[in-house]
Amino acid sequence: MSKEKKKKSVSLSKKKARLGWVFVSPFVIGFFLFYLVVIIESIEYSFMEVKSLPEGGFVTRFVGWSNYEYMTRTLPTFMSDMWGTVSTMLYSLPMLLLFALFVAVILNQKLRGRALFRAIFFVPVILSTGIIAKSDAANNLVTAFATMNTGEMTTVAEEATSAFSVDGLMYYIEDMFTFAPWLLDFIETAASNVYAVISQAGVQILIFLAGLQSISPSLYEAAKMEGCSSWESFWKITLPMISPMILVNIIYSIVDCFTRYDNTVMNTIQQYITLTDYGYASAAAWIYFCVIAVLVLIIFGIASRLVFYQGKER
Amino acid sequence: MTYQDFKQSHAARLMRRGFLKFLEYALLIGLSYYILSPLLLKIATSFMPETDLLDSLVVYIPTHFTLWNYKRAAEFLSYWESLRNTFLISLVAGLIQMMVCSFVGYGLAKFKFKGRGIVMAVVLFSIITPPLTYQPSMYLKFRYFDVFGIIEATTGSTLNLLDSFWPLLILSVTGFAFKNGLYIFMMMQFFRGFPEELEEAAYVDGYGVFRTFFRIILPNSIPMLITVFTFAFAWQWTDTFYTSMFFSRIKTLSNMLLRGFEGMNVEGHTMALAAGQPLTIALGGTYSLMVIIPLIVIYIFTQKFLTQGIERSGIVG
Repeated sequence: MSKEKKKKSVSLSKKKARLGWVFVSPFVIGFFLFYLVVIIESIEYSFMEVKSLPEGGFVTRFVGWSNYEYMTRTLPTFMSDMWGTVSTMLYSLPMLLLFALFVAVILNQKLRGRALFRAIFFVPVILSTGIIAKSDAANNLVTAFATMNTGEMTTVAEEATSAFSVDGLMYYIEDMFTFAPWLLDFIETAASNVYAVISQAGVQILIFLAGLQSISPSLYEAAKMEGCSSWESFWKITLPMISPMILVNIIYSIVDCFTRYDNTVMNTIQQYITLTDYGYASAAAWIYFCVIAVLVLIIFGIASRLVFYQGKER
Repeated sequence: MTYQDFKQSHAARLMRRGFLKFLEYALLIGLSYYILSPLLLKIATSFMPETDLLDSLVVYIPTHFTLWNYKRAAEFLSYWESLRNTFLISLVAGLIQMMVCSFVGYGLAKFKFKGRGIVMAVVLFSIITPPLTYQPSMYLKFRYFDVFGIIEATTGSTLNLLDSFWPLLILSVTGFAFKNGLYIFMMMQFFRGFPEELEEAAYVDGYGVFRTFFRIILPNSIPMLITVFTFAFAWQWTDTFYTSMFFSRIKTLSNMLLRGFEGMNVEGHTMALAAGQPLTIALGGTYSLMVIIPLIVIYIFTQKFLTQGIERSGIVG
């Protein structure tokens, strides 16, 4: 009897394993169909000098690690841009996540005009990616006016606003903070980051919102019956239930930091691609990849201990 | 506690709640202004004729209100045709990506099989690698498309899939389209938080794995599915990476906006518009508003659907 039962359970788990493969099969097929080839080609390029011919086509020559050496040693800006982005990211990541969670919790409440506010907070998701960001960067109306109006009008306008100009204001503030310039630096970076945080948090807010909406209201009702305050139920219910989505948001934010249109690392890679210098471009991309992969692995290591999965516990 | 005390404490609580609500609205309205402020100037200039654009005394309120910008922008960059194409592409790609990514995510979250760790690593890998890295190879892959050499062996030549919907369709079905790794990861994390009893109960009731997935799991993950769909739809809508790579003749909104208004002939001008001129920029801004607005309208509709979804579900927990 027990033998039979064991046999059955083995076959069941085998069956489940097979079904698992069925579920992930689209992804696996895609991986072997083109992704693997494309990635291998990119790694190959990073060890080659690629020259485009005037009549079309490419000539490649194996050059070993020299592309990587060029990126890390010869080119002065690439690695410093990389570390710059990493440090900005580590600095703004906690702020970003706190802000996103905070706004998501507010937007998840019953509010008058909630649909409108949600629509407004969706705007950064559209504005920050793809064509809109690109076309905005190219079509900056303010700079256009600055180059256009070289007549008398500009001087008038400048005089009218000079009392409140940013430079003037900065001058006064610097004058006031001569005793502690580092404090001024800190406040200035934090303040100038505010807009960046808000405009970057759109996606994270939506992900948190979806996570919050999947929490059953009955949990909160039960907690309320037991006498939990809303502060307590935030820490005991909302935070553990949303923790898988915190991990998603961390990974997204890290990658997003680098792939934004205004990031210098990505722009360097883009420049080399426009010049059809695929060797340098791929080498730069793989250096970037290694840096991010290390960060993501560290975060995964920490998060796998802290994240709470409801299904696993019982 | 006397009745008087109770009344007082009740009043104090109401006051406190009112104050908190006030703070909440103040914060939300302030942030909304912050988010919308870059759009405000764009909206204002989109209604201005050229004389207002050149007048530095006119900043936000046009003196001669006009819809000329909208009309000419729509005409020059064939707005309606692009809108139809973009809508179709985004809808199909969004739906397929939503389904495929939830499918793969479910497989990774709920089944233990050999090689699962590797598949998960590949998903993360695909999130991290910038699409820029493999742009040239990807282009060539679809220019000379082949499935393990089978097509060339049978028909004698490879397929050119560029300028058709096939590349996007293939990428979406296999979960490798724009940011699909993120969607798979999102769905995986979400399903991992699903209580296992739900599936066990379904199995006991004689449901198969697929029936459980479609009848029990999916209806209970509507908020997450809609969010994934929203991202997929919106990012496909504004995407230039794949659309400029795959479509050179199919008109989409993002491609049109990328082309811009340089070289447009305007009555009253002796020269065609050049980059950096106020009118070129105002037209570009107008067109980008025309790209954004349909998206926001669609988002508001899906939001309605989303709130209905939660009231129906709520088994998770």
